[in-house]
Amino acid sequence: MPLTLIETIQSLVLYNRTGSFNNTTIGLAIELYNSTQDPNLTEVLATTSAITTAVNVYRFDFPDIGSYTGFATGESLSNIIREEDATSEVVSVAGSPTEMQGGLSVDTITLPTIGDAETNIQSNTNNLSSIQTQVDSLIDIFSQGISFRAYSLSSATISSGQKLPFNNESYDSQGTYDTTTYIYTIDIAGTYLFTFGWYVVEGIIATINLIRKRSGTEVIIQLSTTGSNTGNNTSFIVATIAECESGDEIYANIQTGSCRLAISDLTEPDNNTSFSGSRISS
Amino acid sequence: MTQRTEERIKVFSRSNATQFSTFEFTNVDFIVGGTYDTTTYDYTIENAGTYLMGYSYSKKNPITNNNLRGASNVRLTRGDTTYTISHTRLNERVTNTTISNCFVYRFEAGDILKTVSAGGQPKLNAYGYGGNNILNSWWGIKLTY
Repeated sequence: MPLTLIETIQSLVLYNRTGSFNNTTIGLAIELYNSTQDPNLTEVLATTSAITTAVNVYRFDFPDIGSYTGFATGESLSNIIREEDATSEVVSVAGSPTEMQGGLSVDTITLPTIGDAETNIQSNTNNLSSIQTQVDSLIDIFSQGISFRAYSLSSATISSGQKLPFNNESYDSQGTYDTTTYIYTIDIAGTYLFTFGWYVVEGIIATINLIRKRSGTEVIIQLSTTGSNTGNNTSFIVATIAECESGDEIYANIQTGSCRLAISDLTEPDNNTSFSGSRISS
Repeated sequence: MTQRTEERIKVFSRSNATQFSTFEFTNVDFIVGGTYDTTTYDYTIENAGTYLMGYSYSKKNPITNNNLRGASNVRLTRGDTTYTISHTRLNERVTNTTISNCFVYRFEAGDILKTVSAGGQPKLNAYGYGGNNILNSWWGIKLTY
């Protein structure tokens, strides 16, 4: 056999004696050695199984058989005989390190089942998923503490085009309510409950909008209006929920008419109406 | 520790149609958990728990010397029984005033809710409108873990 790498051998074909002596191959096995590096023939590089059946042709396939295309029909001195005309087996080749140079580019790698290691990886994945669930729950719980409340002590009439001036704070967990602009800025996204109250000014039809301003665009998320014939100092209490994103600005704006936030001037700690918000869920 | 089961809904209408039976909130702002039918206006609770619910509407102009009120009920269907769990009424002779309701209730999975007229001539908005605004709505959110 010419000197060659085991990995480049395609097949070894053994033509047996025919007739009544063909059983002399039984018990035969073939082993390949590297006589140059292993002159004492101690390390088997490839081996076939021992032959147990007497046939005319044996074909022993090596790792590179897949690259061969010129199979012969029937016996041949130049080509490897096709599988249908021989008794074939795949030769056992001793493992050797695979050397790779340059990069490797593949579309998909399908990993084999690796027993305990795979089970452990899956177990750890489940644990991580469980931890994520618990962290999400904790975020939800602590985020529920997000809230603010603002109020006014003044009974002054507020004209159209203004934001309702709730200029005092009871509490503001995130410090994002501005008592000079009367705007609450969302710190953490979520679903919020908002409430506010106001009073009718005698004979005035008022329309108050709760606004969510996002990226410069105002959207009404709740309207409150008197209509006509509503008595002086009738109170309107508004509540709604809204999905908010971080950076959204929330405020109440009087669109038409006028209103007031207290029926008479107050002193601390009395309040009549308030503007409040609370994060309820994600 | 278990993760919170989220459930919330906000539906609305841009119409000013007078409501004689079920309030026809035809548009969904958001719904998480639960189901809302935009043809029957039924909201079906998926996750049992305590909810904060609310809604607002308007009322039709009163006829001269006739005090047209605007009243509403929240009707709960649980199993084979349907009953009112909240009622809102404005009896003043006023026009287009916003009427609001807000309450807390403990629901069971499978409960079906709807908001209906309870007399007078309530309407969902004083005026019909377009765009992205939500002037009045029906909303609810699960509070408990």
